[in-house]
Parts: sequence; structure tokens; C-alpha cells
Amino acid sequence: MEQAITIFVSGLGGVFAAMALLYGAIRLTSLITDKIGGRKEK
Amino acid sequence: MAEKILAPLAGKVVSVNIAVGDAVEEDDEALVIEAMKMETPIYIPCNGTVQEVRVKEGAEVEEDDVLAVIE
Amino acid sequence: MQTLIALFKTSGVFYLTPGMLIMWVIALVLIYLAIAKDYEPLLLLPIGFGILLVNLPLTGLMTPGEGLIWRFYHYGIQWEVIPPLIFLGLGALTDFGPLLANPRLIFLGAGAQGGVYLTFFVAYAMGFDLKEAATIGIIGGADGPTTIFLATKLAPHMLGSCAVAAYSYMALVPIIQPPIMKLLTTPSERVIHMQKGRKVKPLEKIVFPIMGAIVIILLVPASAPLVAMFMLGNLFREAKVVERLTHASQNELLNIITIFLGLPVGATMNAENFLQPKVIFIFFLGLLAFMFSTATGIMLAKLMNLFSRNKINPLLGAAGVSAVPMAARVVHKVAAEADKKNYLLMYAMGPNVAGVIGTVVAAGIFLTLLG
Repeated sequence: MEQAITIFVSGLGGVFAAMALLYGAIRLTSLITDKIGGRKEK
Repeated sequence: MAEKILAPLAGKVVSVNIAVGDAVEEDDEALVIEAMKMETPIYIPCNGTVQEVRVKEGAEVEEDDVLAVIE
Repeated sequence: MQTLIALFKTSGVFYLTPGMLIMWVIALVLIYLAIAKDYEPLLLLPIGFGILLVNLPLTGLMTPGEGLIWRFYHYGIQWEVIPPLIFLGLGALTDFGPLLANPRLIFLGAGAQGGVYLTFFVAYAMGFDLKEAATIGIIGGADGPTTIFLATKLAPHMLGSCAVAAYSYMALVPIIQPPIMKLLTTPSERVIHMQKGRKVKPLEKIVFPIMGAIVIILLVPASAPLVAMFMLGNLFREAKVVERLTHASQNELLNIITIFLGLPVGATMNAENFLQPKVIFIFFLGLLAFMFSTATGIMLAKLMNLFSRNKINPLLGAAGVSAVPMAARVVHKVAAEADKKNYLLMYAMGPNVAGVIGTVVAAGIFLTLLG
């Protein structure tokens, strides 16, 4: 039972961690590409 | 006041149910866009008359393209 | 006369068992549903035929080392070749644009995996061992190749039933999801219009599969076979310089391997293996998994609304179930019932594709901990 709870918690936590990292990656990319785009317009 | 109907999603126009000069009411079906193998009806946003229809059946539209103008 | 009788005895007729006949019925029902009702025909048709074949006596089609379909099974599925190749095709078919336009919706793709873990827990409590429970739970991700991938590694004896459960419930998404969606949302939530997402530049779409592969594979290395191929397929698509490879991954390759996926999966379902009381529980839990996933996705959207000014239509949470694009279409239709002029389809594609990634990560974590 203990093992099942560990898997439950670490699994769900892991999925959210992965998504949070991806979210960060997307935001970072958009920030950088916006900067590049902005420079070109000047 | 003119109100534009913008494409809420990209896709292919499969039917256009309005023509210039038509009197239309809010929630009438204006046209149908097919995207993701599903037909999505697009509805008239306000009462008025159709001033302009900018797309034809079979046209590919991008998101936010102006489809028609209602006055 | 004597030889005639001897010849007759080498035919399969004498070796038929009642179990085989029951499996014929199941096979024919699946074939019928695929053809007449259009239930995931690309998979259920070859699976149904595979079930029929393996329940014909004396064919040796699944005899290890010799049988034709065994070879498909061994080199395609056990060697983990086919599910990743399917993911290559899916990656080439996936447009991450809607997700990149509304990045916060990515969390809904994680929320729907709650159903995977809840079902895992229920299955374990019902007496399945940890590996079996994980395989049953992943059905809730509504992702066929991932289910097959995980089942092969953790519980090969349940491969057939889990795959059939996953694909049949995927076909039933338009029936399973709406009641739960309506139960968990209020009419005023269902009419929430989403704020327009940002414009996505082509460069971002190219960067995403590269970044995505790095981030997810670093975090959960066990998910690498699926994630790697998925992101490669998507990179083909977005790079726009290898149209031929994109096209091949989306069409020819995907179609060919689909044939070699369905047939052997069906052929794992011989009568002794399939006709067990356990199988009923697998189908019951699989349904539960779909329902839980829909519910947890919606609940997460509502939770996110508590903390943000810019409200999310909670129906979008149901699209985190990665049945692409069925779940997104269902969200669109349920929202349109509440307000005709609310067009959620493209917003729903965001959590929908995020759900695919979420399910793969969940499978990777199960593999890491149990494999």
C-alpha cells in the first residue's frame, strides 16, 4: 500500500513538474522570440 | 454601426448562408467552417443587414480573417 | 475412407473449444462496430480480425519463433518499434500552435492525468498488482500507443484487453464525457468566453519540439522512446524543409505500421488469456479511468480559476483527456450548447495535445518506478 501511495504522489507530482517546466520553456521562448522580433522592427 | 464577423478558427468555408442585403438577426447561422473534420456553424453577432460577405464556399480562412460585415 | 477420416482429423474443427467460439463473437462484434458504427475502425478492425485468427485452432500463427503474427508481435511490439513509430506520425500530425498561443492551458493536460493515478489506486485496492494497476490506469490517458507501450513492458498478459478498452472508450468519448462535464460545471461557467491567445511565431513552433524533447527526456528518461519520436515528427512538420518526411510520417508510414499494430494486439487475445473474470474489471476500470480523467481535468480548470482574473472555461479541462481530437470536439459542442457563439475548438486543442504529452510522462514515470 505504501508503495502505491508513493507512486501515486510521485507520479502525479512528476506529471505536473514536467508540465510546469514545459510551460516555463514556452514562456521563455516567446519572450526571446519577441525580443528578436522587436529588434528587427527597429 | 458595422460589426465584423471574424473567423474564430482556421478552416475551410463549407457553406455561406447569407448574401449582401439580407436582413439578419442575432444567432442566425451565417456560415459554416470545417476544421478538425468537424463542421462549426458561425452565428450572426447582432441584428442588422449584411453589408459585405468576404468569403466564398470552399475558401480557406485563417483565424481572425474578416468573413462578413453586418450593419 | 481411412485416409479421408485422417485428413478430416487434421482440420481444426475437432479442436474448437466453447471459449474460442465466444471469442469469435467478440471479434465479430468489434469488426461490426468498426464497420457499421465507425468505432476507431483503423485499429478495431485489424484487432477484431486478429482475435478471430488466434481463436482458430492449429494455425500456429502466434507460435513463438514461427508464427507469422507472432513475428509481427515480437519484432513490432515487444521490440518497442511500432508504438514509437506511431508517435512519429502523431507528432507530424500535431499542431502545437493552439497550445503555444495559450500556454497556461498546458496544465489542464496534466490535470486530466489525475484520472490515470486515481484509477491506478482503485485497481490496486481491488487486488490487481502494482504493474497491472498501472497498465489499467494508463487507459485513462486515452492514448492507444502509450497504453500498448506500457502494457507490453509491465503486464503483457493484459495487452489485448487494455488496448481494446482504450480504443473502444476513445470511440465513446462523445458519450462518456458530456454528462460528467455538465455535472461538474455551472451554466455560467460553460458560457465563459476565452480571451484571445497570443500570436505564435513560426520560430516558436520550431523551438518547441526541441525544447520539449530536452525538458521531458531529462526529467523522465524512461519516456524517451515515445517523446523522442513524437517531437521528431513535430520538428519535421514545423521545420517546413522536409515536407517529404513529414508527409511520409503522417501518411504512408503511419498507415503501414497501423496495420502491424492492430493485428498482433488482437492476436494476443486467445480464449484462455481473455476469458477471465479479471477482464470485466479491466473494462470497468478503464471506463472509470476515462470518467476520472474528464473530472480531474475540469476540477483543475476550476481550481486555476480561483487564482486567476482571466477565467478559463472549465469545460476545457475535459480536453486534457488526450483522445485527439475527439475530446476537443466534445468540449466545443458542449460549450456551443450553452452559448452558440462560443467557439472553443481551437482553445481545446491546446490541452488536448498537452494531454498526449502528459500521458506519455505518466507512462514514463510508471516505467521508472515499476519497470
